[in-house]
Amino acid sequence: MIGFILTGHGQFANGLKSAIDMVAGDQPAFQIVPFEGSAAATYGDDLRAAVTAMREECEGVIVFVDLLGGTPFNQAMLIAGDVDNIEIVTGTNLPMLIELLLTRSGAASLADLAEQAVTVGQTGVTHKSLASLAGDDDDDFDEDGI
Amino acid sequence: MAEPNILLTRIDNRLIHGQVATQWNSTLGSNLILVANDEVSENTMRQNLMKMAAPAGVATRFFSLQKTIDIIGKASPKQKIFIVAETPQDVLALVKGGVPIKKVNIGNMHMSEGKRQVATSVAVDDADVAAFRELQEMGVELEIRRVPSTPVEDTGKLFA
Repeated sequence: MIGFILTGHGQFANGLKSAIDMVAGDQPAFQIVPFEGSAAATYGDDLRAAVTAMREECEGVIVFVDLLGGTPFNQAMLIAGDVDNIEIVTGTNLPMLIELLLTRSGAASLADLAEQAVTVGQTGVTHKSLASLAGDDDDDFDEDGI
Repeated sequence: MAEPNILLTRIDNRLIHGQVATQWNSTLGSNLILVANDEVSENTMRQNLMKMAAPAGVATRFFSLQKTIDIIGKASPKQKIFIVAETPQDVLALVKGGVPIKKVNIGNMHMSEGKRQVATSVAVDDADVAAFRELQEMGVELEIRRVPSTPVEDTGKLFA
């Protein structure tokens, strides 16, 4: 199992976690570490403790952070310098996490899974309009069927 | 005629949405989500929104209850079907019409006036309970479960 840590500014991680709970239910080896003003002084240590503990349980850990260059990202990178088999993904979004939580057990490697997160996360960002809704009826079976 | 390959039938008053599209379908391995609902079968706006929610490579059909009953026997063996219906009454109509439904997953039945909450995401009134009882008497297995990773809740809660 590859463990997931989700972290970000303010209530980012809490909010995303509550959305995941609703859509996908409770998930094993998945933990959040919020970065909030009130606990800013200990945030680096809290994140390090969470990542280290998860790494002891799992063969590898992906740290999902909200923003490239933010404190959660910077701290995660520092930790990855000391602990092996840690990957970091930035710009975390809900489609990314939902799909990765479902597919992580079949992942070929930690790095592959992190690459998949990027692809899924990017694909999940779209622009839709009412005009684009119609059409796209190409899902009919060629052969017999309904 | 070969029996249609119906993997599961789910009662969900939101029909195809996040839980159904991202969790149930991949867990079941279905390649066809059949929404059996009279209102949606005539509402292209809602159909288009649900088509967008469905995972890539998974076909969607939006049939009235009667059309589902009429056409289900023509399903190809390659079609691994996940039926989604809005209410237990609709599922009962399908079963009575001859759709070979063996197992029903009870997902979301929202609270509303005159209903009582019996499980985390399930609220029922007497008519719902009567429909569930009839389904059970016809040999259909019932299961209360919101998403595949949450535990099954006691079906006895429906009849308490």
